[in-house]
Amino acid sequence: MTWYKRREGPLIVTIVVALFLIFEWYFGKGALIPETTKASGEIQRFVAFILAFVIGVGALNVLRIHWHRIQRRKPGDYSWVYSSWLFILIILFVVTGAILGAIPYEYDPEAAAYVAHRTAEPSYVWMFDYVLSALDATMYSILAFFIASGAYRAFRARTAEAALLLIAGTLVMLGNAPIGGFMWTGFIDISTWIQRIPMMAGMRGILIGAGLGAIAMGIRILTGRERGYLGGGE
Amino acid sequence: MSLWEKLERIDRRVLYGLLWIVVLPVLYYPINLPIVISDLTTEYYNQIEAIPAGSVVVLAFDLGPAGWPELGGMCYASMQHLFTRISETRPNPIKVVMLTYWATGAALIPNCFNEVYGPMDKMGAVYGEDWVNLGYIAGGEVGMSNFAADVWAAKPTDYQGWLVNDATKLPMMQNVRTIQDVYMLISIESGTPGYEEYLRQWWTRKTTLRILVGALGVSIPGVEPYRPTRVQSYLPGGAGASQYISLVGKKVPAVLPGQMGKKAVGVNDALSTSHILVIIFVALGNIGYFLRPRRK
Repeated sequence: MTWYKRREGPLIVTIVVALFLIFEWYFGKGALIPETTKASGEIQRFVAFILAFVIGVGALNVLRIHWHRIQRRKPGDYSWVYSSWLFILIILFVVTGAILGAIPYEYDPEAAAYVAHRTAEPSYVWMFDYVLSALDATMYSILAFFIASGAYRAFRARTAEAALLLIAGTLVMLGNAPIGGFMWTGFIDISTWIQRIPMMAGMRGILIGAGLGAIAMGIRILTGRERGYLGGGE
Repeated sequence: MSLWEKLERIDRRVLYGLLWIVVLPVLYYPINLPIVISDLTTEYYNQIEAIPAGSVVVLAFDLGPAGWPELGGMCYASMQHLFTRISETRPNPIKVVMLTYWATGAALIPNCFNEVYGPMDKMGAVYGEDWVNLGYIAGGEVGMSNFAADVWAAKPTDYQGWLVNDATKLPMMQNVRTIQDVYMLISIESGTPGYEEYLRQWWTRKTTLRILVGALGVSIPGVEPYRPTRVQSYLPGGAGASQYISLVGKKVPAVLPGQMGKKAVGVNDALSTSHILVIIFVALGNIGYFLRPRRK
């Protein structure tokens, strides 16, 4: 295997960087070894830069996949129409946001110079407000119907546990719905108690478990036992 | 099929239709059901009221358009409340830094500001001196860590490209260098990154940082375990937004209740009618389940 395909390189980089950041967290901030803090900051800014770059790579990948789908156009399969629409909108957003938004064409008397609209570019804002926002909000709002239907089907007292869930769920709903407190303020008290005592106990248990799991995963990555993040299906 | 079996198996399209019928009219023509203010909303409001003069507050719009219908009211009201506090704390006003770690949140900040621009302008809030909009900060949790360690390096420019270290344009940013300079974080959010990442990257660096959260209703079970030691208070979903808007509306009657107040009452009414409908259907389903004839 060629040297750049070997896994030892990324593993060593991961372990060295992780150990350095952990070391800096515990010893750099207390002015014990303050020089490490600057280097740690640089590493983290580099990560933020890579993450921003990855968004561009992701967009290109989406374009590539949908371009192939448009080219193939299987008989009877009209999904290429949606792919075309997605393709057009991505291009439009990039053109209006990244290109038109960057052209300085409005005179700013305060700055005595022509300035760019940037994110306030009118056509970009129009598309954001009246296309993306409207569609995104609609998709999320549809959840209300599914939740209502799901609650009707799931909240059925078939067993003792299900009955408990039904009672707790109904009381929390009555406590959270504004009209519940108006009907009887006790609903708010009961709902608050359910959320602050039994629910919180359960959630804290889950959070502590997840925290311990994250530590265990970190140790596995540090020791090179966990290699899933390198890809390759191993 | 008997009546009881029918009750147990009501077609979902009937439920969808009825939900439309009970929600849509009250959104447009509110019936003014009373808004009961919860202790969480009161605490959220009081925390903002108690911000000392000269303090720096970060208002984070960590949400996208999907969360806007539920959280937008909180954004409007929190922004309005903070600008009112700027006016009240002169000659040493509080400073407000707006930012987002969500790419889609960047466009929502100016949208929100434009909606309430007139009244805030009358209160004399000056961009660069009293408040800034840093826009989108890339990197998610890593971006939060960068901001906590070095604000200027994490976001060298504001949303319109002005340098944050330019003392002539953004003088207030001269005193905002690390998380140690921030008194309070108000995070209105609809997912990740959100309060958990802020707790890991900001609160661990400054344990006296006060944190208020505006979250979706479904996210509340995750926020509650951190209250009140890490998260001082939170606004739970649309109900919390309606309550908070009505509280801010009492303080700033020139702005609220206006269009926002009407929206808040409409959302409050819709929440009540939709919850009642769901509870009725759950009851009908259980009645049908227990009374239907059983096969031997």
